[in-house]
Amino acid sequence: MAVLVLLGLAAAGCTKENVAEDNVVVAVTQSASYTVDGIQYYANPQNDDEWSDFLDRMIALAEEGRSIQFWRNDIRRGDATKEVVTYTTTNVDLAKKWAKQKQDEGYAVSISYNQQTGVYTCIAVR
Amino acid sequence: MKKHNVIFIILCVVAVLVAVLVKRCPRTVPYEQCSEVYKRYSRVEGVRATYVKDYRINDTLTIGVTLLEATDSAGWKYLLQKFNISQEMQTVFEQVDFGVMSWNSHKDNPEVRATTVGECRDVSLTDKDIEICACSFRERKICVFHTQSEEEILAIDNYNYDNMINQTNLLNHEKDKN
Repeated sequence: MAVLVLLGLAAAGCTKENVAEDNVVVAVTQSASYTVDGIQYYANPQNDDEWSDFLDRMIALAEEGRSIQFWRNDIRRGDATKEVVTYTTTNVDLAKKWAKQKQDEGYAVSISYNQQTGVYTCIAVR
Repeated sequence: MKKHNVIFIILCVVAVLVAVLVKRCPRTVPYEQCSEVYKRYSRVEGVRATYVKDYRINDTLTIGVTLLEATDSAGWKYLLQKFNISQEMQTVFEQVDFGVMSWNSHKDNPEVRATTVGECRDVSLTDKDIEICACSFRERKICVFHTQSEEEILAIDNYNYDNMINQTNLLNHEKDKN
């Protein structure tokens, strides 16, 4: 009995440390890639209805005899506010081409040049 | 005859003066012809908005440009918030010497980024729906280039990238001098 009381007191004295889970915001975006007779296209259905329309279109194309492949892309980003990509080159045309590509992908871009090393450094953030 | 000559000379002088005045005075674009972006920000406290109708990019191309300058810290904070420029983004680009970045945006909505290639691209966007923005952290300015074709987009991108590279060269020269 005394042991039980002691155990009870010990339990009351202990505090359970609740470690709050880090709130990790995971942004998930879905998009579709598909090919029609070998030519690649992209689609960006926003909801179930649009996904249903997309599938209907794929079926209709297949019924026309076109060669169809399609797949859904799930893009997960741990921190939805920050993706940083860098690229370095000694060729200014390649630097501009890379920056343009990233800009078209939705990044904000910058190019800097180091005269001493002759290196162009490109940064893309989104 | 003498009187006629005097009148003639006075008229000539007046004509010349008017011509000089017209040439020297800046042209003012009527408010209705200014960009939607200019109209949205022209009355915001802490922000100075300027619209230039024919900003010369190169020998063959002029383009409409809206320039937004923060006149104080509150104005700059406002612009950063409106244009969704996160603190992380500022940190990354301020590490670059001159802190200039550019991005694609939706027409008349430079606050919204536009994605035209890749997995997450917006398939409904055409070249006419895109404008180019550039931001200078050092000078606290955001510039919106009102492009209307693929040719103009490519020209502005090239223009911005060349400016970024040239700015680096200038800063390197300044550092070498010091």
